[in-house]
Amino acid sequence: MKETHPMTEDLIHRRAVLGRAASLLGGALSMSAVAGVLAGCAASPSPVADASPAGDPATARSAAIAVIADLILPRTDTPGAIDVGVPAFIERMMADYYRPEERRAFMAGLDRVDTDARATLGRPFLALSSGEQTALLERYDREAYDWARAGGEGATPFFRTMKELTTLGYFTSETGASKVLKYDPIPGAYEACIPYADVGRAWST
Amino acid sequence: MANLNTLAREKNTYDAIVVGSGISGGWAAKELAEKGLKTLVLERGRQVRHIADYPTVNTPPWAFRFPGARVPQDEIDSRYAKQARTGYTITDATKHFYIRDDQHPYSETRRFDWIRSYQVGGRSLVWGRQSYRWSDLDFEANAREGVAVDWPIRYADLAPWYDHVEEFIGVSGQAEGLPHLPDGRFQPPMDMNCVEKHMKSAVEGRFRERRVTIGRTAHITQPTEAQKALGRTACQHQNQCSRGCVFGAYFASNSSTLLAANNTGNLTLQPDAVVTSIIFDPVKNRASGVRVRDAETGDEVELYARVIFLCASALNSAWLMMNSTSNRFPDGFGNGSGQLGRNVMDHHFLVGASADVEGWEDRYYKGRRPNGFYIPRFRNLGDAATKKDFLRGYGYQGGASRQGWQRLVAELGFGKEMKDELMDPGAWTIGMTAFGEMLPDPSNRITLNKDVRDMHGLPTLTIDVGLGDNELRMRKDMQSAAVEMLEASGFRNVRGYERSYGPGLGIHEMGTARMGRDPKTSVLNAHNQVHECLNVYVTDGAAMTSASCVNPSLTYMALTARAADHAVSALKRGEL
Repeated sequence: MKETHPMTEDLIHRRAVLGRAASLLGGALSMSAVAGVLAGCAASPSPVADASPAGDPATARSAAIAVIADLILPRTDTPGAIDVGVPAFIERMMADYYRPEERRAFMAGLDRVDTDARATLGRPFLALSSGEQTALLERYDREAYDWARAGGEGATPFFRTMKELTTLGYFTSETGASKVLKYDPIPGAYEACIPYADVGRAWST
Repeated sequence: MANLNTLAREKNTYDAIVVGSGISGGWAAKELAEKGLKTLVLERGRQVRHIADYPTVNTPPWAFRFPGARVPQDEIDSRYAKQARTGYTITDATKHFYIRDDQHPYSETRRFDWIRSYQVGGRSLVWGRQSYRWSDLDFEANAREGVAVDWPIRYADLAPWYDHVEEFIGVSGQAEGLPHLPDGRFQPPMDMNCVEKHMKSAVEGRFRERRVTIGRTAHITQPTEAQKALGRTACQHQNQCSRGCVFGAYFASNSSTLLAANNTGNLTLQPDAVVTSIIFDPVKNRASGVRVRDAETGDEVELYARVIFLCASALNSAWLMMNSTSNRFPDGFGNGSGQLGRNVMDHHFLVGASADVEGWEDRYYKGRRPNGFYIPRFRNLGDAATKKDFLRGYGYQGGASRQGWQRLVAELGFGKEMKDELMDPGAWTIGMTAFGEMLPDPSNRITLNKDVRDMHGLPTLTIDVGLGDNELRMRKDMQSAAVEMLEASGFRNVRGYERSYGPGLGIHEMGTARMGRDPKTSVLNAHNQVHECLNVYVTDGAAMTSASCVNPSLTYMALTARAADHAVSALKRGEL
């Protein structure tokens, strides 16, 4: 029996929705900031950015996702979130995996970051320095933490979703899972209790 | 199954027909074929060839559509709403080994989670592999307590067949010398890790009647010559068993019994063949064959044999009998007792405890052990000290491990500091869930539903099963005893839990055509023959007269091998 893939039609529709929602962000933004992010993003093209003409507001959304992901898992002596393609991963999850109400909540959270940046510092989020961006995100991190401590009732805070998706995308990427952490597809034996130094890094699976 | 009509015309009579190719059907096929019977296995689902049809076996974690091979909710809702209730069955790594609920519906009077695999190999491809022998504590329980009916067999009847099955499939485990959990023919046990070993010594030191051992699991750790000859090798500790195993390291029909049956030259395996009813010959008072519907074309044929084994799984074997009515059996095949479809049991679980562990930060492990620790039943063992306010008992399955990269998302902080921390594993944690015995209750039943039809236009099942007071009392103890043991081990932040459980979720459904001594109160006799039609044997979970608290598949295999031996002898004596 031949099967049609149920996601295909839906997927195209969802990307269109994501693009329209992105246009709500609109307005002025520093093209230099966007250009900088996209340069870092080059190895992992964004489906939303690709579908948009240069300077389209959807690009600003992609840029904000990339900036926040890279602040959550920055490049250190190991690759950062942008290096392993986390921003494109998050956009793909939003387009293809999440339901409309979850996607809307995520977009609203992303909007709020920019609104708060303009209200408190008078500039779009993407035009802030990394230090200013980090300070803003720490507020959201605290809110997400308090929400979880209080039992996690109601809608999941934007930053919690962002942190989950960044971590998930990073450590399930080929680089994150097999180069940064350790991955052994066919371990052979089970060694139950060995010195940690013999492994030296966490297993990704 | 395009060749079925041709096949039927040219050769529509066999010595034996086996309905189903899962854990029980594979065993029936092997034993009957090895004993010289021309055996036809009818499998309702598609062909699944060992190795060749395990499509995700080499897929690394990053190559799935979504991380963790998760499936979007819309797809689950439209196709797998019930199959996904376990939380682990429907992934892009495994969903091809489960049925679609939109194609194979059933109706729930009360919630029942019926997880199914219609394919060559059935659920043997995706089973949990824990393998424990029953004991006379189990076989004598109904008679001792006046519950339901007595088992017509005892441990001594089954012990040699447990030996036979274990030697062939390969079971790794540790002999413990417990009378109520008999030791088997074990291959070398897997190891417990340091935290589990600590718990073992703490629990066994504190509670005289409790034992912590490594799980007994149908994984080869030291292959025999016979296993090597089938192409099976030792477990490689990938722990992705339910995708299928290219090493043939865990027992599945596809890698083991069906290959052995095929090697005899006596096996015909026919996938896409839905058996719709049993043909009864009132003159001979025997079944003469089965009616089969081609799953692809809808064509119907009749196939004949001298002996028929029903191994279609507990609910589906009962469905087939209920759907096989005649003047002789107006209420379902062999249902003079009225017990067909009743006494549905499962193992109730998802209740236990977990804890944080301080220490052992300098210890880690290598490899993904497809197994955990096991705490055998320690309640109601027959002495005053272990007697509780409920009947029967439960065992625990659990494990300890170090936390992974998922652990910090709910904590404060992000950036370099969080990332650096995630390079190392987190603290150790430990947890366990109990598996409890469910009593047989005739009001827990399935019935034929002719209003709701499956994708082949066949009647479906309505399921009405719930936990009784005994199980609910037991669940309280299942949680508190788990908490007690983790606390006795000195672990921190010990948390008892009880999660939402629907009968069936243990995927140990059984009891719908029970064995017994009296045709007035049971469907099958001591050799798994239908009391009222002796050339039909039912050897899957349907046969179970009570549930024990241990995982049941090993017992289905032993019952099947024993019944096959009986059938061949009875045929030779001209009794069938």
